[in-house]
Amino acid sequence: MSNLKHLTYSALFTGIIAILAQVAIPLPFSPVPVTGQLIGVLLAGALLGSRNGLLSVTAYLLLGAAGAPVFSMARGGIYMLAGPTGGYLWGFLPAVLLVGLAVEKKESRTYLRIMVAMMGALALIYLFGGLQLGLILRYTPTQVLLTGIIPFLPFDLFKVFLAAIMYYKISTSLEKNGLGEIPLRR
Amino acid sequence: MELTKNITLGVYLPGNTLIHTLDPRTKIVATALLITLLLFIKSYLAYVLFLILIIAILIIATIPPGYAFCGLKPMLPILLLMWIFQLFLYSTPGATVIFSWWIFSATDAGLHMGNLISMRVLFLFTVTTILTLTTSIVSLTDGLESLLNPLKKIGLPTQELVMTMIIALRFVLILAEELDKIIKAQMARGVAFDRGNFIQKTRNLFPVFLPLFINAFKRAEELIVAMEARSYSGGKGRTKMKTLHMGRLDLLAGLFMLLFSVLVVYLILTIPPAI
Repeated sequence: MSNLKHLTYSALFTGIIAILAQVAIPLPFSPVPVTGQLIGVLLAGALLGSRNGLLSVTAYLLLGAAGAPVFSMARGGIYMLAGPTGGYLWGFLPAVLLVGLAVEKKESRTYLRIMVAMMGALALIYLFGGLQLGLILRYTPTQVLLTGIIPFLPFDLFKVFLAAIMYYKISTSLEKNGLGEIPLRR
Repeated sequence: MELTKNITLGVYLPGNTLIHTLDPRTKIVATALLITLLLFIKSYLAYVLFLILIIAILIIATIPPGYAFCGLKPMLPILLLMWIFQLFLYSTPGATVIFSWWIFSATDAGLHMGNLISMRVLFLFTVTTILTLTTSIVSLTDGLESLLNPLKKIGLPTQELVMTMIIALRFVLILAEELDKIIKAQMARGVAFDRGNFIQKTRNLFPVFLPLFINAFKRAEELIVAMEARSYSGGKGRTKMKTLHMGRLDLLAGLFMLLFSVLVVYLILTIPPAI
């Protein structure tokens, strides 16, 4: 695959993550809506593989840092990365790497294994997010767990489930449309 | 399902002031320096220094205060919550209780901690907002590329990364348009996006996102063909229409920032933390 293809598909997924981040399903009981950002990142890893997935997510974070409103609820700026919740964004990097590495092995492309890899990715995001939240706001690990992880866990697990379904639907749909031979993985 | 409408690209406020004309690299490094300093500040005096610096920059860059602070509005409830959190939950052994109610009690250490943390978040926000208000996305990406250049030696594809960012910016707009079209098309076919419970709303995402993905991949293929036809190969030997230059002003700004950091570090080291 040419360099140009790598680049264009990575850029495409940067765009897709940015768009998915703007799609919000409002919740009746919480001010924070469910957004599709995480799904975008997991799909980037699953469909692009580790190298291009990483390129795509890095471009996403840098674009956001440069002020493009690509983060959820059309926010942007370095504050998003340097602020208390920035760790959840930094965590996308190891997350996409993990999912990418997992799908690069042919035998691990089963439904269950992809889900497990995506859950591992979620754990990495929580680790980074929790660390930065704790460091900037001086929270104890329990406080981090109560404010930064547990309230979001059910929704994020649901998103992981959704991302795994979408991965399968998209890859079969791509094959049907004659785009299946796009060598998405290195 | 809701989609954030009117995606405008960036919050850049065009201008021709001293701050605007500085090299983006100077501004990025200065912002990074200020962020680092903010993470270590524990005294009110240092924050006063920061406040003076920020007001000075806002005046020089002629940024209306409304612009610099309007983004803060949605954050205020969270900030207040954080403050209350620290006030009641943080305490040190020798702290005096200043207020107590039922099982909650607030100490002076908690109050101090709450104040410091809230100010840290406020200043982090303002400092980073100033960077994006005075620097366009294109010059920021140029600056980032140049700053990341040394990492090329360890195998980081910086040029590829910057090109990815630029193409992605275009894709965001295309995809937003496409998404709007698909949503309308599916509504015409009877998909009720605004009705149903959480599960139904989630299921409604599939008839939107599958076509979006397929169309997006087709777009990408078209773009690749178009770029190959124009012999774009990316990477090595690409030249720029605008190149970055560091001037005397950048040197002065750099020296000033250095002086400021030394002062703040001095304050951090000499004033004993109150907590």
